[in-house]
Amino acid sequence: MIILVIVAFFRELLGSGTLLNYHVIPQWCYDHGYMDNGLMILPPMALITVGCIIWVHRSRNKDLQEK
Amino acid sequence: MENLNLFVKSIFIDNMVFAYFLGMCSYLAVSKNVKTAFGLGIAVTFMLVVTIPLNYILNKYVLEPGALAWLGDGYKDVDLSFLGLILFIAVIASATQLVEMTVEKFAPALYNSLGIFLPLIAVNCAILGGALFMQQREFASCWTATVYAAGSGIGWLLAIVGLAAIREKIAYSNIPPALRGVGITFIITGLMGIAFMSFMGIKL
Repeated sequence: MIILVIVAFFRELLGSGTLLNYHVIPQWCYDHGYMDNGLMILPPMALITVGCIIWVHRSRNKDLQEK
Repeated sequence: MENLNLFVKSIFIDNMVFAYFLGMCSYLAVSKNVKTAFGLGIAVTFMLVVTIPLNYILNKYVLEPGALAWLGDGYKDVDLSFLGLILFIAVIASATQLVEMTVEKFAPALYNSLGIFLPLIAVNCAILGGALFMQQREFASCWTATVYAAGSGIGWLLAIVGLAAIREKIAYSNIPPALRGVGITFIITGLMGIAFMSFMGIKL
């Protein structure tokens, strides 16, 4: 459940610049050339985001690492 | 040829793992070496080819609206499609039990290496997903449904063998310790999913 919220947080923030459908990235970012990363909304990115979460989690708890 | 079209379409364009993300649990867990992955892929393909025609016949003669007309005229308006989910699961679970008993008798090495994942095929979303897609798409005949089943199974088989091959090869690479095992598998699957999106708009 918490993993779902974290993954959705990153995907929505990077993918459409909104959080809970409320625009959080200010307009001056868009004017300077920042664009929403449409890739994050696609399903495979959820898998890659979960891989990154596993990376962060296992770096902090060394005893979860394999071998 | 319609059926050849459907066969190629269900292997690459409508791939169970990369287009619809079904059957991920066994896919991620069993892909550690190519032999076990190939065995599980064959088992899933076999399950699909056995259960989808059975479910098709069940759907056509019992579940569809107007299907019970062969019982008599009074039953022409009966629509039992809401029972589809339960009946499909029952057929899949019993077929899985049969396949498990057969594999245990004739290939005990494969049975031991698959462990718990052979009975878990019963809840593998790819098989129930195949049955529900078959119900939704309303194929023309039982043979078409069988071709669809074979194609979906072979697509799943190719996906899991591909991932197993990659995982065997990266055992020699320098992966950060925190990413070894499950982490790198998720990232590889994500990248393969993006690659398979290149097939998405193709119309055969």
